[in-house]
Amino acid sequence: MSYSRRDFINKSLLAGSLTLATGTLSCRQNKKTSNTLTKAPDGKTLKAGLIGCGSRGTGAALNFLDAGPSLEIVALGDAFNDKLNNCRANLKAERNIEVDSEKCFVGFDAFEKVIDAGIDIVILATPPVFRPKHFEAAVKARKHVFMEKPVAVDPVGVRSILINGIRAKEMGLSVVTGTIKRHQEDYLATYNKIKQGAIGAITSGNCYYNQGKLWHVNPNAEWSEMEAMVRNWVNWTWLSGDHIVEQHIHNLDLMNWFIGSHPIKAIGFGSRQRRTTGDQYDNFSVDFIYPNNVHVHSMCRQINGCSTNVSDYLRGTHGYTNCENTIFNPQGQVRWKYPLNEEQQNDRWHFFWRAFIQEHVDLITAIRTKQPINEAKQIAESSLTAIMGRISAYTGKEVSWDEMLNSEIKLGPKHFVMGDVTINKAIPVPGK
Amino acid sequence: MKKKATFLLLAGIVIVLLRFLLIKADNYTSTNEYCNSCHVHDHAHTSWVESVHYNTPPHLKKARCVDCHLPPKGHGYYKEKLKAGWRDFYAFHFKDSTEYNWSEKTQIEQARHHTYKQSCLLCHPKLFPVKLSENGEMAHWHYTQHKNEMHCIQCHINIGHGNKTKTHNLSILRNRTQVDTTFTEAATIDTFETYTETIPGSDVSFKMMAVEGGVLRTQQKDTLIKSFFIGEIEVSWDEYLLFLSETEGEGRNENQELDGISGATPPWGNPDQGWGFGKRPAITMTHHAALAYCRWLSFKTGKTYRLPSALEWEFASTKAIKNTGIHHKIANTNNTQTIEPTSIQADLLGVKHLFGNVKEFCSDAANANEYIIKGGSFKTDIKELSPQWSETTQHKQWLKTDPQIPKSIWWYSDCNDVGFRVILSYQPEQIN
Repeated sequence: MSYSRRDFINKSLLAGSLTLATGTLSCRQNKKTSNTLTKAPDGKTLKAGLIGCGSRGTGAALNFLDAGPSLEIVALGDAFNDKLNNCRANLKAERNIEVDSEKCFVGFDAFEKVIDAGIDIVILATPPVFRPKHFEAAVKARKHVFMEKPVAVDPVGVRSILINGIRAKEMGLSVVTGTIKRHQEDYLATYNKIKQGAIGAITSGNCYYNQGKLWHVNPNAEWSEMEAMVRNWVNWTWLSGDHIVEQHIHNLDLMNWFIGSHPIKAIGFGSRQRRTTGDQYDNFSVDFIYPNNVHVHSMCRQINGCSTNVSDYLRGTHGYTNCENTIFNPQGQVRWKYPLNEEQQNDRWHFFWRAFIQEHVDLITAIRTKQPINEAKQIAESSLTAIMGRISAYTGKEVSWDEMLNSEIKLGPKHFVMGDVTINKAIPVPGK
Repeated sequence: MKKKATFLLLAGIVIVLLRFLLIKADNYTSTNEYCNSCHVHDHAHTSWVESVHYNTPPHLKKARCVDCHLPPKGHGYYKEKLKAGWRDFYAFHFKDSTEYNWSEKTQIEQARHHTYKQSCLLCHPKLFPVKLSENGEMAHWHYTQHKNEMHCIQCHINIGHGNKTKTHNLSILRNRTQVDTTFTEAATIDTFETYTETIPGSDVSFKMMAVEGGVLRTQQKDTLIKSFFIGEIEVSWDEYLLFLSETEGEGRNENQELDGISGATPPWGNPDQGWGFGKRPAITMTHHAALAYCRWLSFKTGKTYRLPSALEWEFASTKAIKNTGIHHKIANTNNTQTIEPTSIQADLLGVKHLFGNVKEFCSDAANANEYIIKGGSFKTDIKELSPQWSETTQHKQWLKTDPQIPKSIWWYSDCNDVGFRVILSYQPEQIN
């Protein structure tokens, strides 16, 4: 099973971050606290195509199928045959779904064929460097979109997402992205409290994605350089955006969401200490400055044997919050906690797993009730926030939002073909 | 009681009647025929008939006068209608319509006061239709970032009248006037006399007039000006397009080097404003581009062509109008566009258009970003002009609608009355 590795990592990570929640679980309540639907309403059958058949793509396809009735996965696309076959086998094993071999496409141009395969919805789950092109093609073909985070690795890609996000809105299409916290019941309840002034005006924040090393794939003698890079994509900046973009975006998106704005500048540090492949850093520490001089300190690290911590804090004039489920008074005493029912108390992962499906429930509901939702702008801004932090750390310079929004920086080779990759592979050195 | 009821009934009838009449009146005064009944400028009607707003596809209505020249209802429609009605009534009865400068009213500065952005957006709510070109995308993205400062007609100025639509013409080179002669070498200067420069390998030539040096008296001090040659005419499109064709970079990022001269990128939009090329002065290039032109011309001819200093310009123009003053036979002013040199008399130096036509770059910097410009343009009031008249470039203001990122260093998008002329120092020691 190809998707088990990532799932294991996710679980072990969250084990750390959720220990907080186990401390004061005293409320026993069965009443439902939000009115979000847990299943999408029925309607005309909606057919989806999956572009990017790795572990997250396969997971997203299953989440999509679980979101409601009359939903089908009918087309698959991936750069590699083995990835596509794995995904196909998993869909068969998990949901007894046979995807017609005529609707399985392999290669860098597979996305066009999937979009053309008579579908209503596209699920985009390739490495993020490909997202802007795929999103543009999907919107121009009038498809609704679910796309995984992040949505770009550079400012040029972010602008493309913003433009096609507006286009999608003008066409009445729905766009949902994989920043799950925005679809997670406890985060949503906490967000509403904060918006109502539960901690007063926000004054500062901290967010962390400090964990061990992620996976890597060593080159294989039979592979071209391009194939080796794409298979090892979480270690190459041009493919993933570096880990501050690829992973820490969850936290940065949360900060933008709760604060209600993207930052206006960033100054960051970072370096590469223990990473064995690719050209990425393995640690970043960035000071993001939001309007009204609100500072958010962000940290992320992928090094084994160090303290781990995946969490978020926002401080206000009347208290602080972990953004997830708890509000504290300024002295650190719990003032409010998200009320859990019995089922929720017995399953620490309840909200987390639920949110992966909820994203698709929200998407399908929007389509079937003809009330489009469009998350393109928010995810483009969160991606650019992370990119801004990365570029500040790489260059050693303070970087402003306006510079980023108007930047011509575009990563990766001009053309995607299996063969040698002619790009600058030097590891960035600040101040140079 | 009965009286009161009758009164109320009557009042009601009057109100209904009034309302009916008002709607009638509004409809009547909103027809094209009504507008034309006192809008005595027929060309407004004929040019509208040529435009895409008249020649609409079968399923769309033709745009009426009031659709563009009044804001939509709810956006100040009645207020503007009353204002316009009163203004037109007054003008029709008390002013002479032949005295109006109609063509001036078609320029952006004036047109934006009688064309409403809200009205454009009412019929054209979609900024990113699927078939929009890449350049169009860039331009509309730029608009989304500067909505408050920009008006649709800044780019789409001819969309309502006439059949010219502003296009993003990326190659203007074919517009060069072709002549059969090809010069093999540059001019040689034997004496301090007017000569004709011939650009080797081309059919382009231009005259340089001898200006004998002397003392320039200003209020501050007397300055000794050395003898020089000055271009008979402002650098023409024929000359400038040759420079572009030999140096123009392929795309925005290519920096082709021609012996130290990096190539100008293609212009955004129509740099000639639709007025024509040939011997008309080349316009809308930046000061930076003018300097690059001088370097290129010097390289081609083996001489040192340059921009005049403000004092040299003042010295020449003082001589040029000695005892004659500035008059309409030598200056194209109070006009709406540039004219060709053949349409005007030479001044005492044999030079054309020192005053009016286009403002001319000088080599002097006004501050860190701006340069001195002299001579006024076709827009200037002749009464304001003198050899001492001077303004500065307005880099930021003149690049407002350029949607490129970063903005062009070669072309101003929003200044259509600036150009330059070249001069050459007289160096007797170099003459055989």
